[in-house]
Amino acid sequence: MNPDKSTDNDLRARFATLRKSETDEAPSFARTLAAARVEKAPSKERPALGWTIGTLAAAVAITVLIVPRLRENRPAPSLAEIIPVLLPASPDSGALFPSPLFAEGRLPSDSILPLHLDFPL
Amino acid sequence: MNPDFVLSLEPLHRDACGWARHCCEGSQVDPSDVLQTAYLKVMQGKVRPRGDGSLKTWWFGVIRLTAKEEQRRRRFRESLAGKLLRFAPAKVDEPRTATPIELDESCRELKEALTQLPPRQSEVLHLVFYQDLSISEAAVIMGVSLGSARTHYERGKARLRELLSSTDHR
Repeated sequence: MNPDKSTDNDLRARFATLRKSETDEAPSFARTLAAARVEKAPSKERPALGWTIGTLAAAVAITVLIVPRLRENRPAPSLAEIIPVLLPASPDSGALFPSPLFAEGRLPSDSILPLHLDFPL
Repeated sequence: MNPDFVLSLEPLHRDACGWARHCCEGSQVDPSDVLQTAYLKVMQGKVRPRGDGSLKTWWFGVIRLTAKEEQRRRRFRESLAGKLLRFAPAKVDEPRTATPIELDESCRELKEALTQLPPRQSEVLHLVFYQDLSISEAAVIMGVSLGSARTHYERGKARLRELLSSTDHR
């Protein structure tokens, strides 16, 4: 679709004047192309910022993914290893409960049991 | 690099300069920077015409997108994140500002009026009146439907006339 050119002559004339002024000042094609090659071509000495950001992002991602897995795979320690020793046993102390009743396989409270069972109903 | 193809853009160079200048209007981006980046994209083969339109509409579309990228980049550099990232040792090219062109009164009024229009209206008017393209070609460059471009064209034209007549009566 082409606009109706006959009714817009005023605008066309204004734009034509502007176009002429601007195109007269435009840099030449060869100069622009040469500047593009020299100024815009990526320099080999310049470290790419994208690579820096990418490396940092990869390091963070690896840390986030791997550290929880390492924690999961570690075997659980036994209680005997992690509970601190409060009363270290001396070598002459012998058995933990030195009562002679224990040696017979009876508990000190066994004597109360018959009384309880003989309770008259 | 594709030196042969980039040479085919030479006949469009002056028009492309005008279009780049328009795309950078109102921003701090230098149209020469935009044009150089666009040429470099062509030389590096990053952009190539698809063959379903004229060379001019394709090339103007590339320039338009490049100008938008440069404006985004410029805004990012001026943002807090951009300033923090400057601690990185990379040498960042400081963007240059556009060299002003001496214009007569009538041209200055027109440019001022165009800057007061919404961007789409201003774009379609530039493409139709300055670049002598059809509205459908302008729609392709702007990436909008023909109906939408036509609406922007009609509204923009009416508004531009209002603005120009108000400055004429001053």
